[in-house]
Amino acid sequence: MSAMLSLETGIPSSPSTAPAISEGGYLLRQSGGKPLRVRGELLAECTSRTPAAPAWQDLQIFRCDDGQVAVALRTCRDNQCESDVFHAHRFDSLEKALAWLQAFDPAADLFADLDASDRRISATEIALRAASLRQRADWVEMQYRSMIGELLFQFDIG
Amino acid sequence: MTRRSAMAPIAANPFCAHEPAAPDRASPAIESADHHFHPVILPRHGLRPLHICGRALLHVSNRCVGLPAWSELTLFETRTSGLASTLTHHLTESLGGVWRDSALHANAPALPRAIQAHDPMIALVLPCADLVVPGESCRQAGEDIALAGLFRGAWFGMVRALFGNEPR
Repeated sequence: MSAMLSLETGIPSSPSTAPAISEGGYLLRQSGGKPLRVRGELLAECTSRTPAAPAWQDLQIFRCDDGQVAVALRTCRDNQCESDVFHAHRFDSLEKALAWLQAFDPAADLFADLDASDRRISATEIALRAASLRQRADWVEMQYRSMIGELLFQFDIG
Repeated sequence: MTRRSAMAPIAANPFCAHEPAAPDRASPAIESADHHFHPVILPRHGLRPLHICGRALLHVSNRCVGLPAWSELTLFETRTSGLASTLTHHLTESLGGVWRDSALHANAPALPRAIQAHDPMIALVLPCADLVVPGESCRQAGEDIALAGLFRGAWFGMVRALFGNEPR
C-alpha cells in the first residue's frame, strides 16, 4: 500500500508527536531504550485523541526500505509531553505489526496516581481514586480499540 | 469533524472491497442470484474487519431530533445463507464518539437473539468525572449519564420495533 492512511481528529498535535526525521530516515523514540532508526515511508498514522480524552494514543506505521514494518506508538497521559510513554518495534511483515497492535493493552501505560498504603489518604478517597482510574482505563481502552478497528478497516478497503 | 465520522458510513460504503471473494458452491439455491451479491467489508471494534460476500437486506436508524446519541443497524445476507450485522452507535464526544462493530450469525433465529442481547452501554464509557474534586466535570457527567439512559432506551425501542419483545 503506497497511499498514506491518516485518521485525524482535527486537533493539532504537538510538534514533538512526529518522530524525528534524521538523514532521510526516522528516529522512533522508545521509553527506557535507544531510539529505533528506520529508513522508509510513512504508511499510516492515526490518533485516538478526542477533546474529552484523559489520555490517548498516537500511532505511526512505517514501511522500511528493507521490507520490514516499524510501529511507533505513543501513549499521551496528559498534556505534558514529559510523562508520555513511547513504544517502537520492528516487524517482519505488516500482518505481524497489526497483530501486535490488536493485542496491545493501552491501559497498561496509564499513570496510577494511587498509593493505597499512604496513611494520610482516607479509605473513601482511595476508593474514589480507584474508581476514577478504572474510568480512565475504560475510556482509553475504548478509544484505542475504535482507532485500531478503523485502521484495520481502512487497510482492508484500500 | 471527528476522526471516525470523517469516514464514509458503512451503509453508504459497503461495496468497496478491493478483491472479489472466492466462489462459494455451498448454496446452490441462491447461485442463480449471484449478481445480487457483492464483496462487502464490515468494520469491527478493535479487530480485523469481516469480509463477506453478501447483499444488504435492511438498514434502520433511530436518529431523531432532540436525541444527540443514536444508533444504526444494517443487516446483510451472505451468499452462504448466513446473516451479518453491523451496529453503529453515534455518541457525543464526551461519551466516546462513534462506535461500530459487526458480527456473523449462523441462521435467522440467531440474529434477533444477538441483537436483543446487545447492550449499547458497552459502546460508551461513562464520563471521566473528577470524583475527588467535584465541580464542572461532575455536572457534565450528570448530563452524560442522563443522555446515556435516553440513548439506551431508544436503542431497545428500535430493537423491539424490529424484532418484537424479547422471548421470556
